[in-house]
Amino acid sequence: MLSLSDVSVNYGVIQAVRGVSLNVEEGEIVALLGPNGAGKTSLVSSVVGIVPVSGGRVTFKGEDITRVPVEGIVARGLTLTPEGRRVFAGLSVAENLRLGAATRKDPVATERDLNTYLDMFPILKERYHQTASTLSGGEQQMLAIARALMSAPTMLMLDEPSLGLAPRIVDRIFELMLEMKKSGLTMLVVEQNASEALAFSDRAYVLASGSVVYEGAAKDLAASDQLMEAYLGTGVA
Amino acid sequence: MDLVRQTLLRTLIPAAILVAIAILVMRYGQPYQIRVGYVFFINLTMVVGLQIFMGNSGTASFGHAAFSGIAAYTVAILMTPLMLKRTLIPDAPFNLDQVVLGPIPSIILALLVTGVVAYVVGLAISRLKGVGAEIGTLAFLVIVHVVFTNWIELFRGPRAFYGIPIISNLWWGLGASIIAVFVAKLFRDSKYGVQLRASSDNMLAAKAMGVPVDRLRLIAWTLSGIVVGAGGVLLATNLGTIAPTSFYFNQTFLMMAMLLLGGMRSVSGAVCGTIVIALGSEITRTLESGPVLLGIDFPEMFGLTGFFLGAVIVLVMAFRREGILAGEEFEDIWDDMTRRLRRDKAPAAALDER
Repeated sequence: MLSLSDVSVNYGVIQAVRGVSLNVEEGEIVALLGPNGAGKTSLVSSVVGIVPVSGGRVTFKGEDITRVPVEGIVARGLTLTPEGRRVFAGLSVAENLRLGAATRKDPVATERDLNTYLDMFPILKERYHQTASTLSGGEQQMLAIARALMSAPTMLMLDEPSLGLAPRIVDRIFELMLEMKKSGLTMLVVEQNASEALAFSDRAYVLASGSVVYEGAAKDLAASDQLMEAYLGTGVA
Repeated sequence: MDLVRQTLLRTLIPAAILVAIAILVMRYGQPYQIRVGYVFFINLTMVVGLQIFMGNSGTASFGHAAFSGIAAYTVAILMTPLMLKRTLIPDAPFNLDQVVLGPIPSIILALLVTGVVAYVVGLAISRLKGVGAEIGTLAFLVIVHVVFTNWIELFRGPRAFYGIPIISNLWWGLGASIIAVFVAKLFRDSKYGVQLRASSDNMLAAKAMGVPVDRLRLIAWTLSGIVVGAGGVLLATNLGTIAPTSFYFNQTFLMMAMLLLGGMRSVSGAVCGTIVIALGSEITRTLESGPVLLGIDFPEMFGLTGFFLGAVIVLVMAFRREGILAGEEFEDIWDDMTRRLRRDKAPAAALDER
């Protein structure tokens, strides 16, 4: 479904991502792991066009989207929930959700989806008219995910959905992701929380210093203390 | 269409306030108060216009006074009778000294010209972000002023352009400001407005949602330029005389103070700030001349009005950066109040886990 071949991202002279190739098949959850500064966020940001790709090709559903602007990519069904939640703090929950549908042109289906997600995230229904800044961290993350879903994506990329959240809320978010998988959504999840992420992913890539250093089945990586230690540091497994 | 109807309803509160002001002024005012009232409506139209760009994009603009100037001069050049024009601008380019149009076509053309200029300038401004964009708008103000003062054949340079037919009155000002409020509210609550406000809240997240930020900034900039231009038309057609200095720093700071005081994030803030500053300016202007009030003989204090505007900007920035209304609309405040009352009656509302 999504395929990156030899993708590089540069910030001036600094090369954040060096020739990464990666595949995500339809219906999969793929984890993208790696330490701080490995280039994970740069990579997913470049895929949707927020950061320009300096080299290589990105194809989505067989179509080259390397140079397509963000709104075009979102309209094609590939959406990113950026790192650090980034809800629109000054807007209401309702407005945040409406914004997720920025690129959609089917008001009837949009309205239907809105109701679906309000049922899926009941806390958002409760806080529907409140300003997003009054939500707790976990609620904001739910809002960010629901907002991304409002763009009717066929594939969702989540950048550190568990960052800074209480363990109980993290579990709830991972549960939700499994629910979304059942409804046919393909996902690429950037995580530092490796063992948790591997538990619900099908496959995993490990990124270090901008390059892929491991790829394989999630359970193989999770099962091998050696691999976990080598790629993700001690004490994670 | 639902949005248009809703916006019409939401315009009722500010419209009622403005109609009340107009009726009070017309009924009880001396010619001097009527003039002050008219200037109030001109400023209100401009400030609400400025709010469309500043409030939604979150970028300050120092350039909008130039749009009022462009519209005012276009109306002046098109509408002034030929006889006068032969003495005012005998060497006007494009044979403009031989053309004269009626009020309606002149006004429409003036708004159109302003819109085109705004669009072209906006192509550059909308791509700039933050301080870069703000400095850009300031440069635009200076450029337009320099063109007014140096293109003597067309604009008479620094000398006043007089003899513009006086066709508008207080009711025009009232009508224009109500329309401006309606347009600004419609834009603010439209999909475009919400998306643009989101981008000023969090640029990265908005882009990730596929919001075409630059295009929305351009739309807001152009629309806001046209509305401010309408204020310029009112000015030219009521005073009958305009000069480049009417559309320079003084006007810029006046508009800025009005918008910041009320709170630039909402249209109601623009209305509120304009009312307060207009009243304040009148009071300081009275004090300036050193009147005797309540038996106290005040000394003459020239420049007090300017001091007052500066002080307002500083105080708002220091103590209430979001302005009096803090970005809320009148209706939001009303809704919040009724909701809070209802919540007080149901204290059992679940406490959420944080």
